[in-house]
Amino acid sequence: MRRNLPRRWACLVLGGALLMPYMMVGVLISGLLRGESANLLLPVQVGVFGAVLPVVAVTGLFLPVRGLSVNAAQGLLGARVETPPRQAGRSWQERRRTAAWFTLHLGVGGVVSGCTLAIVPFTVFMLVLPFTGRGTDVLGFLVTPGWNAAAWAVGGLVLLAALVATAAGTGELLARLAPVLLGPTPAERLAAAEEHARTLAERNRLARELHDSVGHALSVVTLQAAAAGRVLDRDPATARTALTAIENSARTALADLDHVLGVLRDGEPRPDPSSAGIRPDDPDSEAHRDTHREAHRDTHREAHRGPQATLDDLGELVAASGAQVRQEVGDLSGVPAVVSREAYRILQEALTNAIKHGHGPITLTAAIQDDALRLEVTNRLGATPDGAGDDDAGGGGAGSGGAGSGGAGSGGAGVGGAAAGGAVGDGAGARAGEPGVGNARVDLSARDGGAPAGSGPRNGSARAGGRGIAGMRERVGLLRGDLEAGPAEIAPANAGPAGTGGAEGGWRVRVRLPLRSRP
Amino acid sequence: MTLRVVIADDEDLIRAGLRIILDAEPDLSVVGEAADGAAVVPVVRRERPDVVLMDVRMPALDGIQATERLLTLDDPPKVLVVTTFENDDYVYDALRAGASGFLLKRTRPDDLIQAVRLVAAGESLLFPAAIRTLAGRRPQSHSPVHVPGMDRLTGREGDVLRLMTKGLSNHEIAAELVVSQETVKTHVGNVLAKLGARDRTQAVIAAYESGFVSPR
Repeated sequence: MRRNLPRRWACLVLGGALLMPYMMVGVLISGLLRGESANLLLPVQVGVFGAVLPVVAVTGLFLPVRGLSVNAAQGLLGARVETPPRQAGRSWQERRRTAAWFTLHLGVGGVVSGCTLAIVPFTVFMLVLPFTGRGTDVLGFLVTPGWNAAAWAVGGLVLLAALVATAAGTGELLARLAPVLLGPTPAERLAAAEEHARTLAERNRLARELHDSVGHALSVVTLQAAAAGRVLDRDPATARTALTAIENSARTALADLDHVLGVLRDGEPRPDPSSAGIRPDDPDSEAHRDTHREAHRDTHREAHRGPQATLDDLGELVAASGAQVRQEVGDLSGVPAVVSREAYRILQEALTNAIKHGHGPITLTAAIQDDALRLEVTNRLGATPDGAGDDDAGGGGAGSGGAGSGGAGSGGAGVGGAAAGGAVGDGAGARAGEPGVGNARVDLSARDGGAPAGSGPRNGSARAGGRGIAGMRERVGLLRGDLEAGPAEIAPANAGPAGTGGAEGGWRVRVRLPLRSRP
Repeated sequence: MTLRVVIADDEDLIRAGLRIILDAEPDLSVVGEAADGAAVVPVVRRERPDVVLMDVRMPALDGIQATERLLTLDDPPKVLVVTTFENDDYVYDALRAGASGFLLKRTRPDDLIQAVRLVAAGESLLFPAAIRTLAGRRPQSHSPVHVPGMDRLTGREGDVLRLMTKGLSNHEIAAELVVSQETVKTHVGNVLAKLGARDRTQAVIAAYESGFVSPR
């Protein structure tokens, strides 16, 4: 506490310094009103002080002074203020708290600074007086050197002590109020906890998939090695094939391991330092627990599915979408499994959006360029271009888009049903389809047609359902990539007569996923 | 007599590896493969194998559902679940669905071959510790299932069942209860008959499911 005093005093003086401009303006205005010349260098007027405090409060309401205040409280007051999470907009609750703090800090700081400026020189002067040669007029009293002055010197020291006590007391008061007024509001805590939980869930999912894929690869390695050992003498060709399989499996697993560990090791996956200091297990956070439960359910459901779809399944996805898709897919063999899986989901999401909101042919490109996987999905906008911007605008938007997805949906049902005819009877109709095709089709149509999300046994439709661009952004962020989504001009695909009129309005989603994790 | 085996796994390399290992044995013959759960049923209908090696996680139809379907066939094959991870909840589900036992993909080839022979001979392949772990991981809310016949077990048969859940062989049970192996065989037969269990694995699963023994 005593060690804190100089810093806290500095904080109070800082408050006083911040108050100075207000006081100067206040004294100036007051001087103009009264027709007197204002003393701008020492603006000490109690009336003006009272008048500028509301202005200070308004500043706190509308100017972003919170960051400064938090820094001052943490650094100078030594208060335990949790750094508030960075947020897009300011809530009124937060504004009121910040304004209250700002007013308090400047008000109290102004008074203490004023007293400091007055009392410290006064005390020094009083201490010197007994030793000076002549009597001096102090506050209307004539103080002469000797014992008379000694009494005044004692008075000066008492006053100084009172100042120190006041500074210590107000410093303590501010330090106690700071966490209340400057710390995260409940809403901010909640938002930060949700964010944290979401990140954790995503990372858990990645870790789980890594566990699965590496375990799987090692199983292949074990079995193939055992097989190679058995046939080594009799059938060297088969043994050689097995060895190649082992080599490839191990290499793929290593690449996957490398990539996911790179992502997981990197602390927070998104550049969001502000969420530090928020306890993820905050008991206040009901929604946080819900998110967790949700995530858990997801993992459970996902675990039941077959292997995760990757870019290798892209052809099936496109075929199943029922949409007219022009594909330009390069050689994607160098893409690690984890990136491949995420890329598949991103493209699935983008295609779904394109079908939902756009019309006409969709262009899909996927290629490796500069150590990054580049994905792009472009579509022409549907009847209502506005609807294309917000990914979850619902079926109310694009008329033609709606019709298209409806078609895809019924197509999926058709395939599932036909395939189911032979063997099913247990309600697993959709599952009985051909392995890739039926599933992907169900997946794509599920979001539009409102079919139960669980009916797509293969990939992340349940969790990604309806998340649209936000969901894509999350996946991209996790892999440290970039995503751009926005209007684009598209040359008409089937340029019929020359008079069709050049470029059309379209929507483009462009994603870049780095293929090397950061060293 | 050659044992006929069908392999169901969605990974080509796993199927190939298993096939090479099993085919190298003179008394085993891999007669068919299936890349997913839905494809395995027709293969089994056609090939009438003795044993099906079944992966749990497969697209289209997982190993659990495929096992259920296989066991509705006349004269169904024995199902041996083959899994990557021991702690896979779905292994328990597959056992509950009627699989005779499970194997890890990392099992040594000799053990793998032995397991196929054992299961084909009607023995079950029991990993008591693993099954207890899996049963113990069932949700707390999982309430005991009524298994008809569980209440008709005599005290002695109950003792035998309890020892079976610990993975004891007939020989060991006989030693434990100080009776002859023949007596134990009779008791085990009675337990299986009363519980309607196809084999020891199924009886052990029933013991856990009904709460007759607690995994915790």
